[in-house]
Amino acid sequence: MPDPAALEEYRTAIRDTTRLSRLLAILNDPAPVVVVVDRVVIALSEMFAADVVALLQPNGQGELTTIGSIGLPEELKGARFSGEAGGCAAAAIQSRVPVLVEHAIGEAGMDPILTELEVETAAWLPVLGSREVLGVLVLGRGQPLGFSRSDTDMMMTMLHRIGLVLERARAEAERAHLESRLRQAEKAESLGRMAAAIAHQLNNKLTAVMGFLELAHGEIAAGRDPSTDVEDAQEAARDASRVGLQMLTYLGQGLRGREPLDLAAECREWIPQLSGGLRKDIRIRSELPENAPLITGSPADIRELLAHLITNAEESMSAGGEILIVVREAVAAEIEQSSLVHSAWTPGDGRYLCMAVSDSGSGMDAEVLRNAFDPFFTTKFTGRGLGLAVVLGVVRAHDGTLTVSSTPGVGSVFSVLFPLARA
Amino acid sequence: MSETAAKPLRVGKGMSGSRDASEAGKAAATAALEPLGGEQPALILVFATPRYDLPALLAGVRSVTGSTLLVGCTGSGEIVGGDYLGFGGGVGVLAMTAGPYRFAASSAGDIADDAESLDAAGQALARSSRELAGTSPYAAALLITDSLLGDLQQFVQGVYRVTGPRIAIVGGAAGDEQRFVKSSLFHDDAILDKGALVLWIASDRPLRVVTRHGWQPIGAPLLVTKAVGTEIVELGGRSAAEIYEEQLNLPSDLTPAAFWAISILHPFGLTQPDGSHVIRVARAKTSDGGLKTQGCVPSVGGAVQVMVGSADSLLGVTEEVVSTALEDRPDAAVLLTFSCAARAMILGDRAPEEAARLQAAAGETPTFGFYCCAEFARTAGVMGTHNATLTAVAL
Repeated sequence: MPDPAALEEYRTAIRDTTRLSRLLAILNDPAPVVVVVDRVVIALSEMFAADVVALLQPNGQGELTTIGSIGLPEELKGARFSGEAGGCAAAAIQSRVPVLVEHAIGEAGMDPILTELEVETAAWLPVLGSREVLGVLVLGRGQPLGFSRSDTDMMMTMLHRIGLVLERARAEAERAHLESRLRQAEKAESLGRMAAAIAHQLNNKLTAVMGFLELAHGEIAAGRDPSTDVEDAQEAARDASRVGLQMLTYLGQGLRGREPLDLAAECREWIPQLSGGLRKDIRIRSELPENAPLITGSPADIRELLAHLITNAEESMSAGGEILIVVREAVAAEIEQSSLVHSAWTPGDGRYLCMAVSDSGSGMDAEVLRNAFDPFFTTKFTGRGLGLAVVLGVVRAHDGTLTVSSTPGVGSVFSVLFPLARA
Repeated sequence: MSETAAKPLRVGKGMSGSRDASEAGKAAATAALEPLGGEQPALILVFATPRYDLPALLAGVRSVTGSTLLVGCTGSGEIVGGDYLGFGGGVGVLAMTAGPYRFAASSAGDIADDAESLDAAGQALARSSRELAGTSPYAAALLITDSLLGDLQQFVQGVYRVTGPRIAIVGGAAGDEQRFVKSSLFHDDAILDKGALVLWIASDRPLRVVTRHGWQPIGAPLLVTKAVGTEIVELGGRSAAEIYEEQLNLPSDLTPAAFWAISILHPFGLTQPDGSHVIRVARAKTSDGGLKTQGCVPSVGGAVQVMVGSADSLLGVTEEVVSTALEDRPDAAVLLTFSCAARAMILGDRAPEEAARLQAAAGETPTFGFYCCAEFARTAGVMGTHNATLTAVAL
């Protein structure tokens, strides 16, 4: 039977050695910085039973932005930690030594984010570069179990390596900035493509109009009734007009009459009619509250929006499945900025009515999702590619917003949020 | 929300051992609804033996419960009150009103078993179920996954990326009575293969997950130096199976059945900072000298220890699990429990004792659950996947 004290010492040595070897293996991996940082924070969370691990970088405005984290719920992913004097992060940066906080709830200087997450003990560790403090690594536990000196000694050993990762992160951020400019250039190209597509669509329709009118002219010259050709010309002209109207809707300028509207009641009225045209292997289910608060909207536009979302869901489920439509109240805080379709939108303080349309279809990858709301973008063999563009236009015209979460092979959830009508 | 928040949670449980799947579903569901006194259920939980004609079973339940949200799976035995339904035992149904909670579920089938897909599926299902349930100060994400999806910790990790620590993560992996061939999930009318689901339980109060196992470490710690998928290939630079056999003085030529009979009694424990252990069961030796584990393996660089337990030590945690789970919630209407199929196998003839002791400890609070092929309980850090434990959450 081995000596228990010696066995415990051996266990501790093994644990520290394995922690170091695991972190070194991750940090030496030539994977992109975002992947390395993600693996580091997950490994640290596992090794130190830390509910929250975040690698933070000062943003030059007295705050720290998150480069990588685990345990920060999605709604806090974009939140910035305080770098103000007197705070734990500032203390770690200034002193260049770890700052350990026990009984953190209510402690002065504790970051509000960790307080909100009910963190009981925290360790703030400065990430030292060759000349300056590059950032802070923060670990938090929800239980009153403090970080030991050997824990922080081990972490400090690793922080120089993590500093190298931060320097890589800076370089990659610069590259991301350049890529953003490139994307802007691509957007300009997309606008050009859109203009060409509009011209092409209208030209096709006008060619048809002219063709039918020429035929009508011939019929008149021959003394025959030109009604059929004139009607065909009218239909082609109407078709051209519809393209124009849908483009106006996309631009948020096609809004029809607005009135106080019970969104759930509108859904109750329209869903049965719209589901009549669905394939037999598609089921539609809804959860629609009674007496939901009113929004201000156009019934015709809401119907068009619903029709496009249902059609989109149906087309994504080639093997059949279920469309679920839920109407419920929502607040601005739960709107995920990362899922917003038009990122320029900023939430107010008010409440919203959310209509979520989810499907179990093929989902969209990041590339498709980025372009899905561009007019004339389509992944299908048929259609003009205006459906989701119209949805976005209707949402914008209602001062609302739209979030999408989609996973290839799992499905998509489109959530439209309308501000409530003023009382 | 405020209107429903005032109402107390009401639950009813039912079970059936009928061999006719449809009749079993109807009988268990009818018994479950009866205590609700006509109040509309908001959630139906169904745990059943995989031997049933599952579409007929589900149709039987739904013929009674209508379109009420339904989730569940096949397992390796069910816990219904003080009763234990062993392999082939039947079906257990729990009906719950909304009470102070809001329930919503999202599911997916045919999920690829690579780490990225599982992580992405965890994120997507957590996000969409939360979206459907709406916001609340606290919540629990009750996870049910196919046990054959590979490293299930990746799915838990994906869920945790969305939830953060204020949301309890609990649940279990479906099973097929330890055949490891096919397990099934239920979501409303659908039966999912290679699937996962997240049941979001929105709550105004914190929900506490409790997990205990009753295993003790023996011998010296071992370092994982190579791991692939759900297999520990090397320990300390040598064949994992060789080292494991050496520690336990086992011959190297055991038949797979004989190896499993011993390895189930000696799982690995991953030492945690607070001195506790997360358990991993080595299910089989591989041809290259590795050890195939159930659910997920320790990462390379992780230290593991061989553990030992007995029927008494495993059963000994039952009362602690119940009292801790009910500590913050003495008014709980139900205790959801997730025990490991391996525990039932180790307990053998004494397996019914666990359900009986659970219910005795819970007193008036009904207990309900199933025997899983991995239990989900995130209590510290990101790690939330366990084997050979008893896990519970009180609602």
